[in-house]
Amino acid sequence: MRRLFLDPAALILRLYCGAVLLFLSIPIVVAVGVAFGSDKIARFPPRGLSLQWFKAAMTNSSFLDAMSNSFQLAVLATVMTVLVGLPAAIVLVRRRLPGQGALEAFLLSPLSLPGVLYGVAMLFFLGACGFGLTWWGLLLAHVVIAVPYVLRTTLAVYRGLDRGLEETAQVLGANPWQTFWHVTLPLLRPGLFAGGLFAFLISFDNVPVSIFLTTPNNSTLPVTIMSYLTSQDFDATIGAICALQVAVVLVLLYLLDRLYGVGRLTSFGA
Amino acid sequence: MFFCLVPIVVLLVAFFVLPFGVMLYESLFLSPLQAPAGVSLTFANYVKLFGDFFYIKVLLQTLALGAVVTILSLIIAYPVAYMLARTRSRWRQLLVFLVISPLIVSIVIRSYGWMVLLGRAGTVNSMFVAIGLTDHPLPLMYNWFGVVIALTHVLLPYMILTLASVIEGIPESLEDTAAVLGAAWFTRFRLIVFPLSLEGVGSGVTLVFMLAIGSFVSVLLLGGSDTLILPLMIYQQVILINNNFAAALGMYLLVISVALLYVQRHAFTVRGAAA
Repeated sequence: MRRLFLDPAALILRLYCGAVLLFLSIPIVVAVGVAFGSDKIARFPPRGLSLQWFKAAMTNSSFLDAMSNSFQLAVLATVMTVLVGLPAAIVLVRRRLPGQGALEAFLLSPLSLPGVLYGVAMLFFLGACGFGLTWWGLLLAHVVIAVPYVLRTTLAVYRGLDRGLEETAQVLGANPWQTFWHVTLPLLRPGLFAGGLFAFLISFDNVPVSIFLTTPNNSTLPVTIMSYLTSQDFDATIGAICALQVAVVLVLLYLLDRLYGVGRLTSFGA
Repeated sequence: MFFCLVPIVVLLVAFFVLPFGVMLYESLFLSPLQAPAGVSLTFANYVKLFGDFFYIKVLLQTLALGAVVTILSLIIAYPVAYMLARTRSRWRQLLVFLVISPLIVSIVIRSYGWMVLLGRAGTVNSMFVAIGLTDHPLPLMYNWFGVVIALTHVLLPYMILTLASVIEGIPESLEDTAAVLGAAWFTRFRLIVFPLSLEGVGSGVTLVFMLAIGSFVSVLLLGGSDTLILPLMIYQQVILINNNFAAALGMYLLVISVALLYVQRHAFTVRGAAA
């Protein structure tokens, strides 16, 4: 890469990458930026400066209800996902199972199908079972789509661990439960935390599954925003909600980077 | 110890596999609205799907959108992936962060950003009018143009990360040797980097294509009445309480998605990007 500095092609490459990265961040900057305008219509760059849209968002009861519903849903889905995913990850790493590859592929498969498909299938399923559309059905669907994230990060962290630590604990007289509680679990914490954060975000952001399973009484935040954006002239209130959400995401991303390393979230090692 | 696997397997069999079974079952009946006389097992929904030109057109539109978005993403992403894989600059962490962070911000938020940018009185149109490129606002959204832009934006990071992970594995010494032997950058790209990255290209292309033909939010928000693709049509049919036909459409998209998934798993050893 030393020659990168001398080569005109390399200079063009750098400018090009800058342009693409700008393209990637512009809509997010715009969505957040409109929140600070004083104009009735959402526009960017904002005209004037005000925080009135934050106030409008924070006093709009349909957004507040949806936000609180989304939050409860995401917290409970995260807890359930970890409870279901962690034991499975431990067995998958510790034991050799027949058909292990196929089993893992199956357990991760909700990652790979379009959300709309699962949403509509779950709608028929809940209807066929006679449950109808309830909050618990929505929660179950969120657990299903989030569980692969917890499983994947936990598996990755556990596979990277030194087996010797657990063996040492056992040699020193710890029973399996003590080994798990005092050695394995603390070592798995970054993976669990990253997976849990992902599960939270997946649940909190989901539209394609939730849109089929929510009713006006238990609408989630993104579904409420969607119907707001499709049904009326959008004002900057949505911008304020976007700004709040992006702020939360940035904090979470920072925590994730500290605990787990953002580069490890992808197959592309950083 | 195997009892630890029971909860997750039960969860996925009961609430993931079974729902698709119900979908298959529902697709084999007509809705009460279509067949008031009574219900019986029938392939009528599928006959309609494959026989009516309207639905064939929707399928073709879905595949065409997938193809256009995939090709655009590949062309835009490749140089960025190369840069990301090869740079040793201290800004590398920041670059990775900038590529990954859009993935973590809600698609609804990103689509809203595009709506503000591309609307009739949006940022782009105001700029074009101000510099005299046009005297009346251009239709930039509620049509295919808006959908392609927003969808390419959503899927670009997946392509960049998949390509970067493969390019990173190509020894840089190969390029250095070629450079010493006098190969210019384009020759090095054409004869070394690109051929060796083909597996990543294949993996990224299937991943992005699959995500594009299953996309929902961007198409619903930035599309118009003519930008009908399969996921959107499934949603419309559910709203029209035409559930059985929606189920058939769902099976249709399911078969296409599973086939693509199979290609991705077996033809390319490199796994796609995360998230």
